Amino acid sequence: MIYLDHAASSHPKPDVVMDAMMGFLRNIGANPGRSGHRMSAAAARIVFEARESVARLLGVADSRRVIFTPNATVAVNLALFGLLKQGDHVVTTSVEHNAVARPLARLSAERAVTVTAVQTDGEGLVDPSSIRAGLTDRTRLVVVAHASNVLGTVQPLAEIKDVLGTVPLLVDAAQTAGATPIDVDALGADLLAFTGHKALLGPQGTGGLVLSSKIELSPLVYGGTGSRSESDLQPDFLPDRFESGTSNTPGIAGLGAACSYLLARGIEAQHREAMERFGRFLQKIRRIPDLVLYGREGTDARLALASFNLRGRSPSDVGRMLDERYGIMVRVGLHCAPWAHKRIGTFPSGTIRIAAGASTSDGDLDRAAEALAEIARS
Amino acid sequence: MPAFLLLTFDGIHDVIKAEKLLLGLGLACDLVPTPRMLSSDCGMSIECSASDRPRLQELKNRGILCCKGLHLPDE
Repeated sequence: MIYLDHAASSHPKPDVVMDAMMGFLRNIGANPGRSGHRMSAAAARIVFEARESVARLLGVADSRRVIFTPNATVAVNLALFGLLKQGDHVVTTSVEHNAVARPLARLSAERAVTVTAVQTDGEGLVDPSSIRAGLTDRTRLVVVAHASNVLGTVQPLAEIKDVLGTVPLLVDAAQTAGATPIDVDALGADLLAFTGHKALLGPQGTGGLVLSSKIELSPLVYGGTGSRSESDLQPDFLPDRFESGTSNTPGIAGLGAACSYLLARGIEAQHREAMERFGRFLQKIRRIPDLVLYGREGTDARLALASFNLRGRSPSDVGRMLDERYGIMVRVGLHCAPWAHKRIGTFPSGTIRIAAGASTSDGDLDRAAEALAEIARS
Repeated sequence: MPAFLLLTFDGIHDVIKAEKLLLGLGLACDLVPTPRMLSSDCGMSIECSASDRPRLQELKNRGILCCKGLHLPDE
């Protein structure tokens, strides 16, 4: 079996992730910070250390500004519904995921929010000057996926931030957190949504939103926090303001272990190695007749994922053949990102997407390239 | 003079952060349930030796210790 669907969810997780989750479930299990006993305190220490590890990995000085959520989609929803008000304007790009497109559509209907989706180039790269041109005096937020989940193209966040003036930036880092170095404080990103189960190598059901100290958000969920319990009003301090209800402590334990693992390995070195490996794969599949590759030409400003089609074959047929004949698992279709497929002309059938991960070897990618060549010839 | 004093906090994140700080500085401390009379804070507090009060107050004044209050039992 060769798993090349890491952009959907990474697999396998490092042993330390599973050990941390089992250790919590087997030995602690209590509700973090809700009770005064030692097991509740032990659970709270696990959540605290996980938050610290995520903060270190993402370049956030104060870990209170890391809000845990079940996934990046909830984090994006918290940012959008918590910030945008009646009649606000949003600038985004033409390759965003449905995690951004759908809440914005709802906000358009519910709060008359207007949206300008700036066209990227054919490789999915957005020109910061186009974003600047889209700003109006009603623009309340700019939303950009750090990397497209369809094309792997990594956006120039620093240059984008430079043109925004005082308009806040929400970065959707679902694909990049753990894959490429991110320094939220140095970038000056006002909001950054991440998921735990992709390149961060944590379990599904984990993620979060990083808030800058300048951002005022309304919570998406209200309820018990283990603090200020005598009051009907939501606490105004972080992270409690945005973390009502019992947290996914086993998942957070795993996410914390995953971040410590990545910090020890070094994200930059890992990314460089992954891109060298993936560059060799791209060279091989470019030689396959009838294979149409989308996205950037080289390996700069991209992740180790590629979208392509084989002329005359549907993506779903190719995906099925890769799975059934070769034991190679990829993702086909629209990847929950119809905007990106409209941009590159592959809507509605989509593409075949191969996404490498931390466990992917040269051999895995060689076998995938050979399988694609065989399917193209058959 | 009372033997212990209680540090209270907004939330559990700050409790654990303070516990880590105090243990790192070699100051004895214990996590305990917050007494009802102080219940407008986090459900957990930190019990410290009353003899460490000057040092704890200084850490709080310098913004290093993120507690809301330092309480002696009769305060």
